[in-house]
Amino acid sequence: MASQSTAERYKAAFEAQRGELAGNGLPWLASMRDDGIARFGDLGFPGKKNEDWKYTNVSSIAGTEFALPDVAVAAARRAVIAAAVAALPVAKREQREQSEPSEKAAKAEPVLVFVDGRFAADLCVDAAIDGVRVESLAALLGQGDGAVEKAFGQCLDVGSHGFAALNAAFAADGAVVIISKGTTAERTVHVMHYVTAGAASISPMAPTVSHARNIVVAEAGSRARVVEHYGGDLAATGLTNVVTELIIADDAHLSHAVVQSAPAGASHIHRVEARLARGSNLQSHVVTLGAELSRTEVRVVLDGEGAECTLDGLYALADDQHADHHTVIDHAAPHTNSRELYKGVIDDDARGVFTGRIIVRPDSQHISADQANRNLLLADGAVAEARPQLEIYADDVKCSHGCTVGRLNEESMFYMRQRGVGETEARRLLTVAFAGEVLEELGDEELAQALRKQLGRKLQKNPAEQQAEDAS
Amino acid sequence: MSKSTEASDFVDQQEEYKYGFFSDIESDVAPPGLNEDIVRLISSKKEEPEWMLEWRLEAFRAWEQMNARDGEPRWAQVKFPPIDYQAISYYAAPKDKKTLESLDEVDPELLATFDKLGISLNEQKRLSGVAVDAVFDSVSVATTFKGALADVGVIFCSFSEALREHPDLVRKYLGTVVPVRDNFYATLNSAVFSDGSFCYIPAGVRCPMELSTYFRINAANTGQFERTLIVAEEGAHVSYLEGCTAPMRDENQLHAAVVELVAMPGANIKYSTVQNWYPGDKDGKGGIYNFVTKRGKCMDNAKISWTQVETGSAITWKYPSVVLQGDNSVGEFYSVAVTNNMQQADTGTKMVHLGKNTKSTIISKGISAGKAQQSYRGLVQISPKAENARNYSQCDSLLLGDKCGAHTFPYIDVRNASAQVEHEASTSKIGEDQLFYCRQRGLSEEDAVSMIVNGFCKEVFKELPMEFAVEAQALLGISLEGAVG
Repeated sequence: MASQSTAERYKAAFEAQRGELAGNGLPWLASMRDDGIARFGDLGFPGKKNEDWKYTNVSSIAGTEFALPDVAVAAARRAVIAAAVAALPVAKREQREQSEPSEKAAKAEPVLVFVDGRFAADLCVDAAIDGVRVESLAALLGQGDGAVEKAFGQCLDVGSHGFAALNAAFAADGAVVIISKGTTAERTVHVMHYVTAGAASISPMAPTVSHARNIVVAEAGSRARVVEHYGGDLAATGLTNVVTELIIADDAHLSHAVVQSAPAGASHIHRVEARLARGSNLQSHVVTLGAELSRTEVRVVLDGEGAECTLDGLYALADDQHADHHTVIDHAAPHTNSRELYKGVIDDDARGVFTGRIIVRPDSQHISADQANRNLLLADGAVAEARPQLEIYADDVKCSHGCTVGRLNEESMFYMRQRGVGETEARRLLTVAFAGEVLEELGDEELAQALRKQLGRKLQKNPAEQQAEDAS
Repeated sequence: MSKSTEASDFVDQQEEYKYGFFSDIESDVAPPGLNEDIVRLISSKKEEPEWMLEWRLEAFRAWEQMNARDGEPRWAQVKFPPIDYQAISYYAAPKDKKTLESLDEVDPELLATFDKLGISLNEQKRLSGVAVDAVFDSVSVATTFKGALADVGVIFCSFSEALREHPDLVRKYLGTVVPVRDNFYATLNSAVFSDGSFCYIPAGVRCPMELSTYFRINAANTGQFERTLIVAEEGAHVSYLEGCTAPMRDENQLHAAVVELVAMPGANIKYSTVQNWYPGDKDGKGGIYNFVTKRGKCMDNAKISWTQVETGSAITWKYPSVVLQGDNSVGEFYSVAVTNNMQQADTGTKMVHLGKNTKSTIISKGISAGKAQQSYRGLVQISPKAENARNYSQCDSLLLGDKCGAHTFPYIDVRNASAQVEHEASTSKIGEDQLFYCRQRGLSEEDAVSMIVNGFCKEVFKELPMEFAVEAQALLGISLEGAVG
């Protein structure tokens, strides 16, 4: 139960806002939203007694009264946000192209930009890909689009916790990517969510909340890659509560990545839910670098025979960051395979939590599932908590999980030192190499390279400290 | 497909429960119900000192609070109807309860019961050199080899006797490892525990023989609440064996035991269990609810090793744990758990690393057949001060039949960067290729399955003391008879 005041507060906010939410006139959506706010009333924010949230305390979120993002901020901060969009690995690629403008446009990758959860059409990079619809959810809801009605909420388990319920109640905007039947999209679709710290000239810097909903529909036989980027103003402290639904039809292949570099003071709750039909394939990647408190859930239902998924994740944490990764792979059909690798690099007083559950349903025979979680602790205050879980109700299965927690191999360090590499540099090299395994799986060298750099910068201690260490 | 169904039958040792009989001895049974008066009755029946009664009452009040607030814990992956704690009788003692000087004075019917169990005290005493403290229902009726143990200063007696003869020792250690308010069932046990074993090994003494106790649950509707306390003083060594069987009864019987081990610096305690209580019939009717709290505390350089073979009970809820408090201490857990038909087991271990250079090893093998559900649930915790801690865990599950389940829920919690923690788990059935390989070389399917299953469990069996290893292999062997063809 949520404390009366929290539930009531959100209920009141919902009643006040619902008239302005996109798609307000749609009866099917209205009932989903009613269901969402009602569920939140029952569930509240997950507390300490909730086993799934045992290691993640969200009382700071529950206790904050978030403001609504101010639409005017996006306009005021336009230049900064445009620079951030231009800095994405995708934008660089365009700049390097030395070809004719027309060809350049043909090769460019589209970027959908959302500021504080709202679509910012003027910041987007437009680049049409044949057979792929890339639009904002709010626009499609406004048009009463049939495809969205079919897909919206299809994967989301609203009752699983309060954040999912809140998203169901409030979600009105986000990216919609529909890859039509048989299409192979050669270029990546990028989605950028940017959170602002407000603009001093417009409104006081109150923490804001947004509930975005991204939907990717990969129709039968299609192939595509979608990358979601999360970033924002350094001073931003708000809550981003996102849900991404991936609906993958027969024989479709989807590569999906979430790159989270949210501001250091922000909270980021993200739930990716995927449903895979017969013969389809999902490659899911999660890279977590930012946010003070984050929780990223990836839930995959392998719903058709022959469906396969690969889940890769990397979390690199420093200072007092807390990142919780929670994955569930549900083998609901026979002949389904999954492979999962999550790696954590945890420095300073940061805390990395991993829960990975593999479920094999009764009669789901001929299953292969393999899961690994490896954690590297770089400092004495660092904490790793891991809960790999197997729930097996069928017998013709090969399931395994492995989990390790440790520090850098002393022999490797010795080898590097022996060859004249300073301790800090050796540590950085080895750590980036440790993380590299996951980044290589991204299948996008440009993105991997950018992330490697970002990771290297993150591991760099301040110069004075570094000198002291090298001298010793 | 036929192979897996045949294979699923192989763990059918419960089908014809070998030890299902009920011996007709008049019991001195307390009326059903749980209240302060019952706690006082138990305490007075056992002629306990005043502090013991106070301790029990404190536990009872804590339990009442827990029961009123949350009720019995429901987090384990097991399902059972709510237990009516007021419908259980909390004390049963064989009526003829005078102090016995020798086996001759023991009720012949009781001795016959032990004969059926294959643990004739006479035989044991004469041949095996194992001291047996037989707990029949709740009161110890015979203790052997006391003399030999007394010569080296080892105290090995029933808990009630220990309270009479060595109250200070009991008082010093009781509840130091499993506190009164530890958990629902441990608290219940603290309030109403009936009897159990007490073992004290003085400093520097290596116990001259392996100690063993057989627990029995006899009279219907009497929950058995055993309390075991083993203290190994500095540099002492002891190996303790525990084995149990129970008669066939229809109504579920609650068993909530507490075992506490204290290993002082340099001490070594090895605790082995073969648990073969009545698991209920094929439809899940009857059987024992086995909700046990077992925990050991290791001081500097000490070692505690838990080895268990769990084949019985309708529901098992058991996590033998080690608190590695001292530097360089070692904890081990070796387990084979077999569940068949409607059995449910949620079992595992906790290794809590507090001291420096502490090491722990967990080897858990689960075999699930029929419609049974089995879970491994474990915790490995490395506290911030536990420098250079090391853990290795391996949990493997073997599935026999397509209606059973095997689950793994390890918790790994590391708060010190110098720790090395590894966890591995796998779940699979017997490979067709493994079977084929054996068949090809002329082994019958039955022998092949037996060989593969024994190989699967070998790592754990080799940790068992000799007699238990034989018993454990036999237990798996019996179940293989007639499973194929």
